[in-house]
Formats: sequence, C-alpha cells, structure tokens
Amino acid sequence: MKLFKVTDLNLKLGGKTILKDVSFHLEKGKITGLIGPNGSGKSSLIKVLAGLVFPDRGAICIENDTTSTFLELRNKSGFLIDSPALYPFLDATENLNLFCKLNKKHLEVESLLNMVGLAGIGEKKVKHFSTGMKQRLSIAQSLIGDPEVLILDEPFNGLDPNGANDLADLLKSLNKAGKSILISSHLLRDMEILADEFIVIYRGEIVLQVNKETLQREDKKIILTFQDRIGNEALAYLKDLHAEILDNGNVVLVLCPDIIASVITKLVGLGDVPVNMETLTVLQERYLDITK
Amino acid sequence: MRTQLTFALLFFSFVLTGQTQNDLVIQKLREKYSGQKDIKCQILVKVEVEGIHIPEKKIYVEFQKGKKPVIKGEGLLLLPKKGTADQFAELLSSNFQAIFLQKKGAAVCYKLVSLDPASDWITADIWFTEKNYNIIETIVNSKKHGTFSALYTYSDKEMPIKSVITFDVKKFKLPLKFIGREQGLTEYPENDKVSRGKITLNYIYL
Amino acid sequence: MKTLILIELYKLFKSNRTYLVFAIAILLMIIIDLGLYKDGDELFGYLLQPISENFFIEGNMVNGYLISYLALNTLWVHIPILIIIVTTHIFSSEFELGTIKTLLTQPIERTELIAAKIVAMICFVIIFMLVVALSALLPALVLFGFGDVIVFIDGIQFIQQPTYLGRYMLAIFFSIISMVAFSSMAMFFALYFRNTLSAILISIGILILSTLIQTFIFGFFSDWQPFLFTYHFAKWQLFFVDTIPVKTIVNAVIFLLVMILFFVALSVMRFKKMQITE
Repeated sequence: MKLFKVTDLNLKLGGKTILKDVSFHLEKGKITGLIGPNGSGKSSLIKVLAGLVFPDRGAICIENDTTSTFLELRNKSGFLIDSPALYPFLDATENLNLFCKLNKKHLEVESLLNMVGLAGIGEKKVKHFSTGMKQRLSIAQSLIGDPEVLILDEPFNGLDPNGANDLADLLKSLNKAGKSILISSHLLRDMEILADEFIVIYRGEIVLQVNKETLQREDKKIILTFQDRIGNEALAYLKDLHAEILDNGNVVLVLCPDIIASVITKLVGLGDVPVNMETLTVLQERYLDITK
Repeated sequence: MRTQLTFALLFFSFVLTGQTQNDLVIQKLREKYSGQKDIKCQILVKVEVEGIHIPEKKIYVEFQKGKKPVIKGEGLLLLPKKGTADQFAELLSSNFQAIFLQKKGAAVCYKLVSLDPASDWITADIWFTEKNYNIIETIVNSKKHGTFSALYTYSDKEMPIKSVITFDVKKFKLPLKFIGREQGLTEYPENDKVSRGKITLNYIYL
Repeated sequence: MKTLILIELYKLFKSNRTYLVFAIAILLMIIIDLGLYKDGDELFGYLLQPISENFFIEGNMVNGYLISYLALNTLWVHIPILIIIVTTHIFSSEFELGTIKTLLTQPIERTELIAAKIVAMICFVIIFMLVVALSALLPALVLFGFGDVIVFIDGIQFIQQPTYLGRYMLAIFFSIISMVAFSSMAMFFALYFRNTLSAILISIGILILSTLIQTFIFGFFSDWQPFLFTYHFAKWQLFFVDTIPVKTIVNAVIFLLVMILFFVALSVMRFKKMQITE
C-alpha cells in the first residue's frame, strides 16, 4: 500500500533545474532506498519532503488524500538531513530534551540514546563528539517523536563498519515495528542489502523505481574468471548462452538467477572451474549505465 | 583784583564745602558697611539666565569678611560672586573717588571711580537713601564681566531682603556649544549677541 | 509558542557569548567609574570654569548620578554593538550550525519560530539594558555618593537629585525601545545574509554612517536628520532637560516603533518564504 505519492515535482534554484517532473511513491511499511550520485537531487528532494524547500510545482497525496500537503508529511515524519546539525554548546541529553519539548508525544531521552549506542555519554557536550557520534545523535533526534515515517539523508556517513551494522540493524527493527523508512544514499551495495524498494534519481529526474522482488527475478550479469584457458567444449556451451569472452579470458554472462548455479555446475563438469565469480545486479548495472 | 579774589574765594569755598559734604556722606556710607559683622542668612536663589536651567534653591550662607562665603544646602549650589548683600563693604572699602551725580526723592546717586588699578571694577554708580544710607541700586562696570546692576529691597532691617542682579550673558562665556549637545529646544545667545541674565536673591537673616 | 520562547531563552543563556557581552558592558562601566574617580573633579572644574568665575559652586559635583548619566553616553556606539553581537546570533547561528533544518523539521510553524526568536531578542535587550543601568548606577553611587547632575544639553541643565532616578529609568526605558529597533534591523540582515559577522558589520556600518551624518547639522544633510534612526536614538537625553519635551519624545517613540514593525514584518515575510538549502 502506498503511504504517500509525489507527482510532478519541479524545483529550480538560482536558475538551475534541481528537480524535474519527479514522481514516485513510498510503500507503507517498507524500507525504500533513494539512490543517486552526488548532485543528483537526493538531498533537495528530501528537503522538499521536509518542508525546508518549496517546489515550483508538484503535489503530494498521503494515504489517498489528495488534499495533503508537504507540511502534513513533515508532521508525521522524522528527518535526518545532510550532516548532523545539533547545538555544540549543549550536551547530548540537553540537545534531545530541547527537541522533545517541541513534540507533543516523544520517546524518553535515555531510551533514544540507548537505541543509537550513546548510552552513558549524555552529559558530554556535542562539540566534543566525533563525526560518528554526532551522526548517531542526529538519528536519535529523528526518532524523538516516534514518527510513522523516517526520512534519512545519507545516515551511514561518518559511521565505522560496526556503527553502520548497528544502524542497519536498528533500521530493520524499526521497520519490523511498522515504520516506513526512506533512506537516501550513494552506497549501492549497502542499500541493496537493506532496502525493499529502490528509487534511482539522476540529474534531478527519477530514472527507475523498482522493488527488490522484481529485481531478484531479473537476470543478473556475472563475470567469471578462469585460471587456465577455457576448453573448446566449455567455450561452445558458453557461446550458446550468449556469453562474451573478454581479452583477459574473463567471461561475461547475463543469466536468470535460477540457472546460475546449474551453469557453474556444468562448467565444472566440463573441467573448467571458475576461480572467481562477480555478480552485478540489474540495479547496479543500470545505475552504472545511467551514471557513466 | 579784590573782586576777583573774593569771587575765587567764594567759588573754592563752595566747591570745598560740596566736596566736604560728599566726603561726609561717603564716609558715613563706609562707616555703615565697614562695620558690618559676619552675615548668616538663608537665601532663595532664582537664576534666570539663558542657557542655564536650575530651579530655585534654598541655600544657607555665612558671609565672612575677607573670606570665601560658606555655602550649605542640598545638591549643587550656585551663588553669584557679585551683587550679594556682603558686597557693599567690599566696594566701599577700596580706594576710589566719589562724585555726586543726582538726587531723586529720598535717594541720591554717586559715581565711584576706582583708583585701584588691581581691582576688577572700574566704575560703580550707587543709589542709596539719604536717611539711613541703605544702598538700593548699584551699577558696576567691571573689566572681566561687563556691567552688573543690582537692585536691593529693604524691609525694616538694615540689610536688604531681596537683591535682583542683572548682567551680560555673553561676557560669561558659557560653554553652551562646547561639549554640550543641541536639541533645538531653547534659544541661547549667538556669539555676537549680548543678552541679559537675571538672578534674584531673597534673604532671610539668621 | 511559550515552549518555543523558553527554548530560545534557554539557548541564549546557555551560550558563552551572552555572558561575554554582559561582562564587557560591566567592564565598560567600571572603566568609566575609575576614570572619573581620578579625573572627574578636574574635568568638571574645567568645563564649568566660565561659570565659576562669577559664581560660587558648592556641592558634590562628581557624584554617582552624574557618573551614571555619563555612562549612558556609551549608548551612542558601544552598547548597540554589544547588543547586536548577541541578537544577530539568535537568528544567524541556526544557519551557521545547520540547526535550522533540525528545527524546521519539528512540528512547528515558521512564523511561530521567528516570533519566538523575536521575543527572545526583546527579552535579551531588556535584561541587558537593566544590567547596564544597574551597573552604571549602583557602583557609582557607592563610590561617589548622591548629588545633582550637571548636563550639557541645550545649555547647562542642573538636574535635581530627587528627580534624577525617575528620569534615569525613563531614559533606560526609552533606550530599550531604541535598542530593540536597532536589533530588529540587525535581525533582518542576519536573516538576509544567514551569517552573524556580515549582519554585525552591516549594522555597525549603518550606525556609524548615520551618526556621522548627524554631526553635519548644516547644509545638505540637515534636512535628513529626522529620517535617521540615530537622530531618534539620541532623544533619551531629553529626559535630562529641565522641562521634558513630551511631544518630541512621543514622536521619537513612534518612529522607533514603526522601525521595529517594519523590520519585523520584513523578516517574517523573508523567513516564511526562505528556501533552506544549507
């Protein structure tokens, strides 16, 4: 079910087109990845959703209500926009308390700090926080009002691998609890693991919106690396599969995910064992095509 | 020859008599005011000078001969140096020549010409009553401060109960445009314009 | 709204900048007190020399009330600058820190937010001016005692001791309105440039230029004076004139209130439509 739908969003700033005819929807109860290279319009789109930037044209429909406004979306969402933005002269607890006061209902500050792995350092001034700690605190801030929707712009920035894992687990648990999440990122692989839906944006336009299930059913591009020269029998088999043999001996194939295993088995049976297999999803392929 | 001598004798006798009479009057005037003791009084001072805004103030003053007066009261106190009740002794104690000018009713006017080159005053016209030698008006021309005039009012006592002193404001050189700020609320004299300021002193002797 | 105002005041008084500005203001007053403690009698003796040639002047000339009056003369430049160091920061710091995004993604209206900041600004100006007034008056009274005050406005005004305190408080109240007007202008620049330093520099530049034009009381600039806000700022001095010209002061208050309304309206309109792209 669609939580909200945005149609014909257009935005120009300083004479430059930032968003052009952007239309997309957010599925309720899913994690949606908003993917695009730097400068593609991800942050600007999120700022429009947050009510920070006013579009020249465009509409939003929340749960089939055509009279919805971006302000209504803002009021039911928690946001993390760009880099962490907190008051450096206040400590973590004071920062969160300040924003708590602006929300009619809110979670407890201590539980928020626990959620993001900042328990015990609530009295440390934010100016002494590392980038990763500030990011975690900003995420905690976005959860203050226990919002129905979380819209996060590059939330993994500044986090170490452990921190990124913890955040991914947190987002999954929040999603399991019923929250709809929109995450913008340029980290394709991480998003493929985390998200259920994908929206690709490039130069201010939405170029692809697809869900994970559809993607998983689509053919994948695989690159096989062989240690020795491929035998003739294997070569004939691969040619039947419309494989491309590269100059360096690698083989590029586009296969339905269901038959990849059987192809590898066949090649092994013919005596040609691939020493490495690299898989590019359709998403990755399309993303790379778009952003070339 | 005899006629001329008689005439000359008569003339100089007349002059000498007039001169002697003047000397006697001035002498009596001097005696009255030189014998003045220290004066203690309460004075209500009202300053009406363009550029000075000070409300009427009640001050307590002790005039002591040859000394600066002792002034007491609340806040900041101004007392003019000229024209107060103790000035007569100061005026009359210096070396001067007195010339009879005129008589009007019960009062006579003499012009005093200072013979002391160090004194500030040059000439002074003084009006006083013949009967009890109460000085009722002085017009003093001073080197530094132009012309002062003072009018004195008496009751049944020997000292005046009121003096009204008027003087030339320009000559005071008030720092009206110096560091002050103008708000255009009051007019005050331009550099080449002279106006008269007035101070009224009402005395109650203690 | 009340919550927002309290939050703004909380942030204001949690910032070191606020206390620094108070400390500088108090230090200014101490410097004035010490300077006049040493040289006050000599200075006023010199200024009153023409009068003292013809009048005996008695009384406590350099007293606490006079010092507090002289301290108010720092209103010309020092106090407005100290005030806008804090008041511009109330607005532009949110852009500099990026916290404007965090604030505007909370369930609050933009109008509410800017209104709360304006109230916080006014509260700061009131508190600051009261601190200035007390720090100018109390230590001076302790050091120098009470007395009448000689003021050089349109001649020489001898302000009587019993009336001084009332006049002083009225002058402070008037100055609060002036400083709110100046802060409103600075607030607009803070929102326009989204930068504290730019807002302060422009506001100080306008203050200095306006004060300079005011000193040319003849010729070309003389007709401009009633349109200069510094012309009306200076009217606090009229509380120290023998007969206070109520009409002139009321006109000045009206001008300043219109100035406040103008810049507040401009700022609110700008903020409501602002694209937050930081």
